[in-house]
Parts: sequence; structure tokens; C-alpha cells
Amino acid sequence: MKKYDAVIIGGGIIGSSIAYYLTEAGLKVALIEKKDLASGTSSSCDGNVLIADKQPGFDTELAYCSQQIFDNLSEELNRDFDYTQRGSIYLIESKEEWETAEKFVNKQRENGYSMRMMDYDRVHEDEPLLADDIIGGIEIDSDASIYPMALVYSLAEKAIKNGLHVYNYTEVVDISLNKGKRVKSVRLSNSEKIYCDNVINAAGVWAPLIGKMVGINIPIKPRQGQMLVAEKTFQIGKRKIVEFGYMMAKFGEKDYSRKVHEVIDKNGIAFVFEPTQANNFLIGSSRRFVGYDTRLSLDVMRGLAARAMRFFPVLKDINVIRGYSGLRPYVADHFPIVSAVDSIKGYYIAAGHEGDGIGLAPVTGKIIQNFITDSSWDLSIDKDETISKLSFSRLRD
Amino acid sequence: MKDNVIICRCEEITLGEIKSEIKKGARSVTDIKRRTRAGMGLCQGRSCEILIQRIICEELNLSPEEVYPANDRAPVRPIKFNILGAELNEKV
Amino acid sequence: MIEKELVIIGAGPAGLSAAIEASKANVDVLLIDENQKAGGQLFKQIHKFFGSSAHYSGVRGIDIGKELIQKCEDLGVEIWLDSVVIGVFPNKQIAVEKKGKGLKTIRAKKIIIATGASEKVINFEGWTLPGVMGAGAAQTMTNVHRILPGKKVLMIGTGNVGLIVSYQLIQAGAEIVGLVDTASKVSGYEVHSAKIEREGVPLYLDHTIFKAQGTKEKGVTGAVIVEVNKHFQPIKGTEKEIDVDVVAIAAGLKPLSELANMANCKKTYISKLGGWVPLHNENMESTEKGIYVVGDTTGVEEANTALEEGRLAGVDVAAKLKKLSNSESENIKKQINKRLKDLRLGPFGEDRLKAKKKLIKEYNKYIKAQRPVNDYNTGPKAVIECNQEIPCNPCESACKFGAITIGEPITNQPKLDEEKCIGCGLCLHKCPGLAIFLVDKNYDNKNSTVSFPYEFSDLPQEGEMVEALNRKGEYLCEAKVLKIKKLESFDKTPIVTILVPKKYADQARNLSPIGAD
Repeated sequence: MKKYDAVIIGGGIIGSSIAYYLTEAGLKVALIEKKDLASGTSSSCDGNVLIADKQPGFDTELAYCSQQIFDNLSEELNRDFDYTQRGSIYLIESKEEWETAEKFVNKQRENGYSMRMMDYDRVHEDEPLLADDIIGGIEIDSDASIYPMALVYSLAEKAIKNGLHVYNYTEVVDISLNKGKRVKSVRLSNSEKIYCDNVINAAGVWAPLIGKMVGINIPIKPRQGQMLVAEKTFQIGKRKIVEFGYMMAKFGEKDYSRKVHEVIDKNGIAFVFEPTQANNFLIGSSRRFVGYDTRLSLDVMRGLAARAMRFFPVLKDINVIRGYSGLRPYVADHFPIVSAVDSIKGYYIAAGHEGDGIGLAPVTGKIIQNFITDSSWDLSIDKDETISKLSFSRLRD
Repeated sequence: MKDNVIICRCEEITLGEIKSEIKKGARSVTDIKRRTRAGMGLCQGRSCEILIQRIICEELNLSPEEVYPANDRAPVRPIKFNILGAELNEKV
Repeated sequence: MIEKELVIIGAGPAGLSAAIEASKANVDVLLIDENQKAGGQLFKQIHKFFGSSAHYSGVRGIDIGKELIQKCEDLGVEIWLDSVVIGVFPNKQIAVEKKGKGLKTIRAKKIIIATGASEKVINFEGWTLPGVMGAGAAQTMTNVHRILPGKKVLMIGTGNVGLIVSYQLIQAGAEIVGLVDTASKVSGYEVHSAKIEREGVPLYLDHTIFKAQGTKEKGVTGAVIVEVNKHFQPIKGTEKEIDVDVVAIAAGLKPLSELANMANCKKTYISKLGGWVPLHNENMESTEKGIYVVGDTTGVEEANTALEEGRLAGVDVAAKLKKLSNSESENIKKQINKRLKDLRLGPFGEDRLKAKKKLIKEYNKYIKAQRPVNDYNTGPKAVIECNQEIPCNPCESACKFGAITIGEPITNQPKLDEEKCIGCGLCLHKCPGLAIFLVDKNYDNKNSTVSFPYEFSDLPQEGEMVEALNRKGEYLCEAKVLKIKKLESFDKTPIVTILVPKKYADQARNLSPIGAD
């Protein structure tokens, strides 16, 4: 009778991070993945490791804590995942944006984060190919990017060396609880039944399905994002670049509207540029609620291309070679669910990271490691605040 | 055939790299694509997909119908940014 | 957004003939091709074509192309050349980069995808050297661009493409230093092979290419071929070095179905047709209603079959758009199908005929599986699992509706008349062997119910979840207890009804509480 300390459902970035940290702590772990590792959202995203787009306060603390862990991971893992830390840049289009940006930067600097405003000269010096009318920017030092799929394989391979059992091309069919509503076993599509003390639902946009198996309703919705891949060409930008205008709503200026075409607005298109190690680059990204549909919308592709050219006119003669889409696991209050479930002993949820899964994977892995093992809390974020902000019970109202 | 023979010409991925990932659990063309970048270059797999399918069949003793091809996505030919995004930069 | 009745993507023989047929019936047609000239593969085919007179036999490929294009122009078909369709999006929306005019979006009522095929490759040491190319590429360079790829050509593959291109390279002044194939005989038409054999081209059957030699700067300067045994494994010691400056690979073609795949058309693998091909029915319609696939896109064959398939699709589109009456279109299709059948005769054609039949069969299988199952709810029915001859017949009298018969002698096995059975379940507790069950197969869209006698002390309660077990006591799934029936007349045999997914209706025959070992 196979017995594990923990069974992780979902072999994406979150699942593999948890697998790594649990096996590092000496636990006997199985990872169940319905296709191959990283075949879900983790291979349809970009490689963000940012604090740029986080609200001041716990949002930023959580992301920053995760960023710090990335430094160590590069050394601990055997397989390269293109970790590049060059910081990130916000682009500012208008005076209104500048004012909000300054408030944001001052707040973050008070909290100890290394970032600063960039005036016209500074931002154009840093990014010479930028459109002339961009008035300034924000420079955020700790931001980085990685190649997400490589990180998944990297974490998984080290975890396998530590003793992880991976069941790929296998689905979870059922989860059984014992009389005391404690996790007992997991039934797989290959007919095996594996017994375990803990189950971690790291199934991303499919987490609600895994929740139904134990009778709980997990409010995660798929939010489609599209990206464009450009051909290998000369260097357009040195580092991660994001437009600030889209963030105005996030930072409290709910009445601000960018001067953009309707197509860009209604598809939630916000310019984001990511250079890659492979020397082509990624342009993103959009936001639409279309269920689990991953088909590309032509309008969105056009909107992404148009918005990118607005910031970097030099893109006009460069080729787009592919479009792709991914489903972000969206939670209404923009925080993931990294939590035990009170009514079911041994059942944990680690899902709902929306667009921050890659960046928050390390800290998520460590939090779950902390919940399940006897290790004392060694993270820079406050334990009680973490438990409460990321709890499943906060969403039950 | 030697393992250093190039399979994906656009990204310069060799036979050996592909075989190694199959040993680690890759089973479909898309799995190989994710793990090695084979098929992500300019020709988007037009040359190498058939070779990758053959390699998976040989290594895993599968028949061709069991090895599903990769997804096809727009644009099927490269298209310039200013052709794709024209007319959407009029400010409101 | 431009609106069109029919958009045809690809102006090769299939696309051109589809445009002609549809246009003849007054369908509003737009024909799009990414090349500068229409005609697809035809504009490289400088040789005379085979087939019947209906297929322009004896006419050179390029001339066939010219005729078809002329017919289109005479019919006023709108043609966009040098225009690339970059994608087929939901709701039959097509995005095209039109030459000189930027991105155009078209909403079509019907789409015909005739995007042809592309060359397969084989890999071997040195295959990435300059000078190693597809046979089709060598043909395009020679026939279209008037550039000879090299002087000493090694041709890999003796299918018709390999043979024809070899002939054309000789005509253009190159030397074919060898024709190589792993097979023991030439795979193309003997007559094509004879043409080059009488030019003195050496044939290396049962051989394969081992490696190409050369440098990045100079390109290919030599090749090593080697004999293979009947398992296609190289035989050591039979290596032959040949001086070449081009290695042309004629390893077959594979269908180009990216646009169809993007539009969600289902596909299947048929090696005789070149690999993965989109499914279609007898009218060339794919599994996406209103989207058709014709020509090499849906199976690598010949120009003449492509012509006919294009005609079929064009006619069907016209009929579906009510521009042709059913009888007219059926008549034309009949003639086309007869000609198609003729083209798929003989040792070369029969494989393709079989393959196409298989393709249509898979299409039908797929479509059938999509239709919602029309089982209406017949209600619960008794299932008697008593298979031995034992002297016993209470079930017969238990049924007030005469649905169970045993008769004489009472060792007969019980027979159930399902028509008479109303699913009352009274027989369940009367059977001393507890061998009668009640199954409602179509309780709802996803589930069935199974009722059975349960005489154990851990009788569950209504609404409780239990584990459903099969006849061997093995776990099937978790199941909800819908009903417990405990009547005086049942004499201490409660009847439990559980809810299970449909697939377990014939297996679930017992329960155990959750967590019981």
C-alpha cells in the first residue's frame, strides 16, 4: 500500500516548487500531473519576477520575499532557468500618471524598496528606442525574469533526486476522506489508489475541479491572456518594460482612462515587453474572461501589436512569428489562495496566483513547506498576516 | 545516427537533447517543444516536427498516430508589427 | 470587415477548380494565394501530365495552370495574389496580409482550404550543410527561378517527385550521380524511371545516405551512401563515397493543414496520405461546418485528384448556398466521383482509395460521437443475475405484471420481459439469492441509479455518501444514497438505491461505508 506524506495535484510552477521544498525537508512526496510537467498555464505565460506591479504593503512584501529566494535557487538547482536580474522599468505617458507614480515610488521607498523615478532624459538614455513622447519612468532594481518552463523542470528534477515520485499523464479521479473528514487517499486514472497524509491542490485554473472532489467551492476563474512572440532581432530593450497607465486603476486612480483605441481598452491590453535569453522577445498582454477557451482573438493580436508600436515605434518592421494564450487562475481580490482548509484536515490549496504564479512560486513552496513540516517560520513576511491574507476562508463570504 | 546531429535547425537542438528529455518523461511533440525549444524558431516546426515525431516513436515504441502534432497558432507566416497593428493606434 | 460568400485559400489545382465550379453557379468567390502566380505546384511542373483527357492529360503542368487561371478570369473570380492568410479565427473570420494593402479581415459564409503540402525531410549527419535541399526546392530553383542548384546531384528517393525532378535537372544541365532508395524497387512509375535510366543514371536501390560531407563555406562536396539490409539497417563495409555538390531529398510530402487545425478541424493519421490529415466527408466538408478541405491538404495525391476534390467542394458550397439545386449538384458530383474513382485505380491508386475511404469513415465516426445520445428515459428495469439451473421460482410470482417467467421445470433460468417490467422493484426482496437488481440506466444525462438488497448492520442513511463496489467487492467510485426502502413486507431486506456515473451502471452491485477497509 503506497503511502506518502504528501500528494501534490498539478505539475506546473506551483506544484513543482512545492514538490522541491517538501522533498528538501525530507518528506515522501508524489506529484500527479494530467499531461507533462508545465503543460498548463506555466508554459503559456511570460517569465515575470516582479514587485513592480504590486500594491504597497503585503502584496509587495510577499513578492519581494519570493524574489529574494530566487537568488538562492539559481545556485541550488542543477538546470539553468535563464535567471536574469536587470530590474524593470515602468513607462509614464502623462502628467497624471507621473503624479500617481511618484506617490507610489515614495511609499515603496519608505518601506525600503529600491526604486526611483526616471525623468525624461534618464528614461530615454536607458531605452534609446523609446517613443519620443514618453515623459518618464520608474526604475525598480530587484525585478528579474526567467524562462518559466525551465524552472519547472529544474525544480522537478531536483525534487526527483530528493525522492519525488512523478505520475505524469495521470489524472486524479477522486479524493477520499476518512470518517473524521481527514484526507485518506487519492484515486488515480491508472486505477491506483495512493494513501497520503496531505493533499495539496496546486491545479491552477483546474483547482476548482479538484476542490469539488472534496465538496468545497474554490472561486478561481480562468482569465485568458494573449502574447505575441517576435523574431530574433537586434536589442529593442534591455530589460522588462511595463506601461504604467494600465496600473492606474490598481493604484487607486479608478477614473483614469488611457487614450487608447476601444479594442485595446475592452480587451484589457497593457503593454509589457520581455527580452528573452533566446534573443527573440515577448509582447503582451490582454485580459478576457472567456471560460477555458484558449483560442486566439484576432482583435487582441492586433491590439497587442498596436500598443507595442506606440511605445517602441521601431517595432513596425519587425516580424511577429507566433501568438499564444494562457489561462491565468484569477481570484477576485488578486491574492492567491495558499492555505489549509479548516473543514478538511490535511487538504491544502496553493492556487489562484493570477499573473504572478512564476514570481510567487518560491515563496508559495516555502509557505506550504512551513505548513506541513515542523520547520519554524523562516520567511521575511509576517506569519499571521500571511495566513490571514492568503487564507481560503477569507473567500467564503 | 550520432546524438550531435541537429534536429531543429532554427534553434539548433540536437538528437541527443531530444532523447534525453524523452527519458525524463516527454511524450508528445509539444512536450519536446517545451523542454528544448525545438519548434519555437522562425519556421515554427515546419522542418523538424516530422523528425521529432519519428524520434518519439522510435524511443517509446509508439506508432505515429499516438504521437500528436503540436498546436497550430496564428500567424502561420511571419507578419510585421505595423501590418498586424495598423489602424489601432488612433487615439480616442 | 469584408463579407464574402466563399473564400478559397490556395490557388493550386484544387483551389482554382473549386473557384471555377462555385463561380459558374454564381457564388461570390474570393481566391487567395501567397505566391506571385496562381497555379500552386503546377507552375513548376514543366512535364506532360498523365491521366484522362478530362484531366488535361498530355498537357504540361504549367499550361494546365494557365488554362485554369484563364477560366477563373473569364468567370470574373476575384483573386488576391501575393497575399498571405495569417489565420482562420472563430466564426469563419479570416485575416489576410494583402499585397500592398495591409491586413484585411474577411467574414466568410464558407471557406475552402486548399493549402497543399510541403516536403518531408530526413536527417543524417551533414544534412544542415548548404547544398542539401528538398527535391521540390531544387525543382523550384531550376524551373521557376532558372538557377541550377549544382552540377552533381545525388537524389534520395525514387517516388515520382524524385524521378521527375531528376529528369528536369538533367534537362537543365546537371548530372544525377545517383538515385538512392532504401526500397528494393523504384517507388514511382516505371516509365518515369526508364526516362532517367536510359540517360545512364545509376540506381542505388537497397541503399540509404549515411552522411553528407563538406564545410559551411564550400557546402556539400561529397556524400557517403551505404547498403541496407531488409530491416533497413546499414550494412558495414558497403559504404560508397560519391562526389556531389547537391543532395536532393525526395522523401515525400506532408499535408499543410495549419489553417484547418487552427479552425478546430479534427484530424487523423494516415500514412498513405502523408501523415496527419484533416477529416472530411464525401463532400469534402471538414468536421467544422462550412469549412472544406481539398487537395494535398487532406491527403497527398496528384494534381488530377486535387482538381476533382476542388470541384466537389465548389459544387457542394454552391448547393449549400442554394445557388444550385440539389438534383443539379448531385448529378455533377456523381460524375466527379466516377472520375475520382478511376484516378484511384491500379497498384498506385488503390492504396489511396482505401486511405480516403478510411478518412471518410473516421469523419463519420467523429460526427456520430458528437451527437447527443437520444436515449430517452425508460425508467428503472430489473436485472436478474441468476445464471445456474437451481430449483427456485419465487421471482416469477413476485412480479405482478408477468414480466418474469420461469415455467416448468423450476430449474429453468428466469427470463425478463423488459417491456412488461415497470421497475417497481418488488422482486428484489423476494429473491432468496438476492440476485435481482434494479438499474435505471438513464436516470439523468450523466448518471444511473442501481438498487439492491442490503442486509448488513451498517445500513447507510438516505443522502449519505458511500463507496460503490462491483461484483468482486472492488471500489468503483463514491456514490450518494438516494433512497432506503424498508417495508414490513420486505421481511428485513432493505433495498438501497445509489447514484453512480452511467459507466458504472452495469458494474455497481454493492456498497460499503466510506473509510471502511
